Amino acid sequence: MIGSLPTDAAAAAAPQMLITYLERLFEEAHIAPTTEDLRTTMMEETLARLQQHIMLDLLNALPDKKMEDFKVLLEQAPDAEHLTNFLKVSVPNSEDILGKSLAEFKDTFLSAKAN
Amino acid sequence: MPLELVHQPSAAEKTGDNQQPKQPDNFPLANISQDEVRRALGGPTTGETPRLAAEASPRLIGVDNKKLLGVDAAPLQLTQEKPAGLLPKPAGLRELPPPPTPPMMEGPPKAPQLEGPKKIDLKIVDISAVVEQLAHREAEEKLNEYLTSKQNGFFKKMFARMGESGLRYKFYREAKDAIVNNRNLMASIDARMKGQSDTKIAAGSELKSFAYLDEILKTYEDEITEDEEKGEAVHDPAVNQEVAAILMRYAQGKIPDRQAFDDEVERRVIRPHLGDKKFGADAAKGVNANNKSDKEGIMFATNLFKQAEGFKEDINKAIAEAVAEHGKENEEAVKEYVARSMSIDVQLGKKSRDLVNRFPEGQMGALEGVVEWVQGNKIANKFISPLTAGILASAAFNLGTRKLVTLGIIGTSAAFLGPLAAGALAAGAYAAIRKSAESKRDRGLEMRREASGLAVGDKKSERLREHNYDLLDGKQSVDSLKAMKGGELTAAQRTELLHVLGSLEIEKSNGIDLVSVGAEEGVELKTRLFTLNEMRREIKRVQSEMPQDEKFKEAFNSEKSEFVAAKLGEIESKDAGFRKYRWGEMAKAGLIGAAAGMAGGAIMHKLVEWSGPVLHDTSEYWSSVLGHVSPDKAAAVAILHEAPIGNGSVKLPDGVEFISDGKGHGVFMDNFGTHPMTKTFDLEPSGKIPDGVVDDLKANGFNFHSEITHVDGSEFSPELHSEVMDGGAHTFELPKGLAMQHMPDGTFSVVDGTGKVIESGIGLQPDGTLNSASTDLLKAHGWDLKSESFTDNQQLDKAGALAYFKQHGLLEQHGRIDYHANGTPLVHTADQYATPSGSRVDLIDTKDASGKLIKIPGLDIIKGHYVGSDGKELQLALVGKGTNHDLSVLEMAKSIVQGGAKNWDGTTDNKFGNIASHVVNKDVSGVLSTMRAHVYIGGEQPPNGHFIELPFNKTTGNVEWGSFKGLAFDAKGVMKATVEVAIDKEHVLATAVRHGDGSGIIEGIKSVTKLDPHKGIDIVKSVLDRPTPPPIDVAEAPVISTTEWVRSAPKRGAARGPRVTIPPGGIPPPIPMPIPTPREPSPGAKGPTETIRPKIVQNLGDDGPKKVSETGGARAKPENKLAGPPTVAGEIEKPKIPKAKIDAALSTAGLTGWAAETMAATEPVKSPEEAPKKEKPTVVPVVAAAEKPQEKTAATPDVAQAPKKEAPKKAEPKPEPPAKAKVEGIGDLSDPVAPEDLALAEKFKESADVMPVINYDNRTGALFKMRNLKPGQPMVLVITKSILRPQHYTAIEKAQGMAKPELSDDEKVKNLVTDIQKNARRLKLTPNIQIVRGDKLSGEKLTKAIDVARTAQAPEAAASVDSKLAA
Repeated sequence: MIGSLPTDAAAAAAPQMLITYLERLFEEAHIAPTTEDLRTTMMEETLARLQQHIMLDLLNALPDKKMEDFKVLLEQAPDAEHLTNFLKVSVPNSEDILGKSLAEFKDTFLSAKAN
Repeated sequence: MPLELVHQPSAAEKTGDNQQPKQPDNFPLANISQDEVRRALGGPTTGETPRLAAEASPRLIGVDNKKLLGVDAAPLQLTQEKPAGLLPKPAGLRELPPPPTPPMMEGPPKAPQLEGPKKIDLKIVDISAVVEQLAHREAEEKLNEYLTSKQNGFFKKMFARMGESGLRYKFYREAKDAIVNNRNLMASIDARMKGQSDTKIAAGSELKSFAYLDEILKTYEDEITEDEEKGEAVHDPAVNQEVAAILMRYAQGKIPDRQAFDDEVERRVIRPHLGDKKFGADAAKGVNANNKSDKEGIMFATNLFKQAEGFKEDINKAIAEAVAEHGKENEEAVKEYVARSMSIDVQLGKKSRDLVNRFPEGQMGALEGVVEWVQGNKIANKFISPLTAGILASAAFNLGTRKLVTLGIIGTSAAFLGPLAAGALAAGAYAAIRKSAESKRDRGLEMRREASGLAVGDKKSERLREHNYDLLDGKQSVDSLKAMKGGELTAAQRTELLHVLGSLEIEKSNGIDLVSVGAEEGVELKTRLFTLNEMRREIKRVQSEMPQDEKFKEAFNSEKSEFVAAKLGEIESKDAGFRKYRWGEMAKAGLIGAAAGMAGGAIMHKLVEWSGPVLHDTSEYWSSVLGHVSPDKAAAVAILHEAPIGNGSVKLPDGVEFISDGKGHGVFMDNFGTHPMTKTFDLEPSGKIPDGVVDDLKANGFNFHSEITHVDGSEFSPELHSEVMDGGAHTFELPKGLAMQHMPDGTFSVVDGTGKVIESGIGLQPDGTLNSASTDLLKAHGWDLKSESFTDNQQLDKAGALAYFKQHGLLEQHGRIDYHANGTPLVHTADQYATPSGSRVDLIDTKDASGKLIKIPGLDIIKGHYVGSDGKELQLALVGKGTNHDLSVLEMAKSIVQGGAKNWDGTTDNKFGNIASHVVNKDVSGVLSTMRAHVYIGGEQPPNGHFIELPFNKTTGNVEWGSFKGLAFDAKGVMKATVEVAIDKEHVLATAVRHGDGSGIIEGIKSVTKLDPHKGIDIVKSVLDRPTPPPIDVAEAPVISTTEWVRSAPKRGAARGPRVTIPPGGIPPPIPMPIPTPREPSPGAKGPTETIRPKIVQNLGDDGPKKVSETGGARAKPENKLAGPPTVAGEIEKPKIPKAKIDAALSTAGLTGWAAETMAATEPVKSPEEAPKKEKPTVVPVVAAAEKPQEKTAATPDVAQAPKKEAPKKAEPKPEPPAKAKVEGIGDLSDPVAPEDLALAEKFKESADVMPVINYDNRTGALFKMRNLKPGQPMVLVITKSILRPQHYTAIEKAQGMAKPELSDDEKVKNLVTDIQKNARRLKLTPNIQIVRGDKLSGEKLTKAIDVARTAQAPEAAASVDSKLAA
């Protein structure tokens, strides 16, 4: 049932926000699976899509001059934290872009219907 | 079984170029599509269409879902077996190492193993240019067939040549209609010189058409388009919604076939949501003549059906598996989830022609243009020929010499030979010019024929081909390109590559075809596209394999330039040869024409001699004139006639003529133009006749009154254009700049570019011609009218028939589920049988292998072949003679009664009584009001679940076929459709199965109505004298989601453009568009000249659907930052980032933590229990989370050497100085407001949430739209209750650096106004802003506000703008 995920905010405040975000998304979309497994699978997939969506928006906003740095960085097989930090610093107004990306993802998700 | 999508390896992959790079250890975004990242990085995508393969994927074992989402700090370990996600994996997706833990998560790497997003790359391509190309080719081929056929005699061909341009246009129009109406690129015509040609749909043409469409789409999928063929990239939630719904409907079998699917895409996606988007880039002038096409939106091609086919099984399987595993109760949730998980990117395109040669377009000289006009004019082409040119010239010379002799300029001796010479000269010149035009056309035709693989035709064709350019054999070139491997080219290969590249470059720049294809492609499929695409793919590959160093590129491009120069030299040489040939042809034609003209001139001269007076010396006539003078002459003359003089006219008494050169230079003559009464003179610039001339007239006894009237001339263009209405049923020819509108009451109105209604209430007769009232009205207004109708029969195939049903609203749905042997469906829920005991029971289908069994509860299973659902056959009753049969429903009803209510199986027809009572009582109207006639034309047309109902004639009881008859009867008049009689939608009886195959002929009537303003003066007067008609005001749609198109009012103020409300999903009605070819207004002209700019105002109601994204509506993805694939036929380019590195980008960072931080800063986050109810969303600021991101910002890795930088802080909104722009409110809709005026804010305190809207949809849209704001143009700021969700709203605000979540609604409004004014200043604009508010915005309020905004222009603002512009 939506909303039944643990809400242990102390354990991981930031991810919990995403979970809540997705749960609200599902609720608004009237997606209410009755089994925990199904709901989790759906949320996992949606979370992955959200990541991709944000990533693409950030890459599109990466200035040309930073692209060379990005190329160099990619050659080093950086870990996730390095890449995240690089994008945070290198993409102008990255948080704004992130905000817009979130909003757009939600728009897209809520606009589609099965019928 | 879990599903996984696989993809066809691309060429690059096959060659090993796409090797999987070494992946980093941690992959939080492990499932990101490589294609997506490549696209984001500007690199090539794999471009494959997803295919399904039922294949097991690894599953996740023992994973705690809570941990997966990072809720629990306990570590997660991925096993090799992963869970099957619900969604199929998109093409290009690779198996990647397991992703790491996002930075904010604790513990070792863990991540959900998901199947990734369902990404749909939808291509929507406007193929209007292709349709035009095909229609033009069809037209010229048909005409050529006629002109070269030995069956047609000399005179037939001669007359065809005389009207060649008109015939070609007729065939073009018919061919285009055939293609568009049947949605079949291979549709052709059975050309007829007179009357409407029939449409021909050859067997198999539908498949060929689909193949052609698919190849067009491959151009985009394989990214081998030309630059100008690519339009906007659209990412629009509204499009997402519609496409997802269509895919789901198709997956569930609710859309029967591709035609219906494409129809739905066009109706639900393209027309409503993409109409204002750019399908093609603007081609630079002169760069690519091929791209020129004034036609848009005629037909579209999309690749969605192909993708839908790929996903259909996938979606169904995913749903079925999820249901099997999680229970039926989850089916709806899964469906919703699957639909919402599709991410659709739309790339628009506008396909150029593939046969680029448009000769002789743009090659005709002025005189040849005249000939073209004559040949295209239905009347002129009947009379104007070299012979008649000679006769006319001779006649003119006769008259001219008479005047000249009269005036003493030439002697009488010249009057004898002159007409003969003039006739010969004119006829010879006309014949020569006509031949020149014909030669150019014939050359263009032969060039296209050769490029299409057509063999040489007659001798003329052979001679012309000597001047065709040398063409590359497309197939050979493709073979040669395929042989080029590894980037190392032999000298011969290098030369071949240069030839191919150079030829394609010239094709593009010069608009000529230099590559030929085989007849199997050029003739059978009417295109070169397949070969050209294959060439481009190979070129792309070869170029990517070639060395990439600058030195090599420079040398190669230099060689290519040399080849191009040499080829252009060859082309010029061929052109010179053709010019010589053409001059020779012209000389021959000129001599023959001159001989004919001389003969005509001689005849005319003789005729003049017989009928006209002999010329005399002028001196005799001076005395003669004087002899007529009498003091009372003027008073005696009562009848005046009007003669042109200069730009005006003069009324003259009978017997007085003004002989002039047409420019005001001339002389008044008496005795019907034989005796000069005055000296020759020129009109004064004002149009006044010189005083001396008037004195002469007075001296001759004429009381001459000169009345000069200045007229403005017609405000309408003398050039006409066609407006096709009602799906081609009615064509109106109107002056350019005027448009025809179909009004809700069924009449038509003529409007100009400003929306001014020029004519209204135009009604048509059933055959499409003007009714008498409209004819009288329009004639009274000065229009020169011509209105005629003609039959328009079209042969439709099954798809065409289906399209026809839809277009004419004939298709209706019911709940039928089954087909019986006779092709008629059974109503599952309504068919009841009365048992022998009298009780009624439902039928139950049992459907054995033959599908012909019906079980009736309580009875034994009945076996047999049923002709109807109840085992009885309807007696077909046709009335009429010969092949002209009508279907009599009344007679058929009687046959039912004769059969009795008892069925052959002993059951009773429970519907019988209803009909029988009417028939027995001879209540014809009762029968007809009860019964319905449904028609099935066979071939499963209409499709399952649908029926076609035709109306009855209420008097005769016969079915009114309308244009449908050709689908129900065959050529011999035998009925081939199965007919079903029903009560309401319930089946009663059906006839035996007929022999229809789903195709047939549609009998139609088309009309052409021409409104010619050649009496433009009267029209101007009429228009100016008439009061301005009231604006067309159509009632607003009763639905909440409406879009209103509101135009600016013309400057004259009184008139406001029509305001038409468009129902959702409907096609916007024709909006009076800016005059396409604005003419310079004549001095003093009163007609409006300003153009309009449509505004779109979203009508936002409390409950209105959110059709436009709150983040600014449709958003095109920003341009990619890295270079794309190598350009075709251009300079060699390579992606700036090596592919391996692009692949490495697939492993980019874990963003969930960052996203969550950002959400914390921008959104209220609550536990689900705290989630707001939808009815009253509230904004809950989260302060603690908002502070978090700054702490977690880490340094940039050293290698990247990116400067350390703090994440941007949220900008506090800074108060802006008071704006200078004028801000006004109106009446009771809003109060006057200044940025600092808190009174407005007070008004909004009652609203739970407020959404600022300006012109379009929201703040973002408003600010974006300001870029389009013109100096001095007013803005309308509409503020109404929010349809935005609060969290969205705050996210956008943050993105814009504007209001913060904790701001009150009042402050938000204030900030919005400030922001708008700030933007206005930045754009150097001072708009007059009108604010409208209301709990629910109505069209009336908005319209009023817009009107006020228009008229209440701030003078100082306008002055300011003017001064800026002047500076």
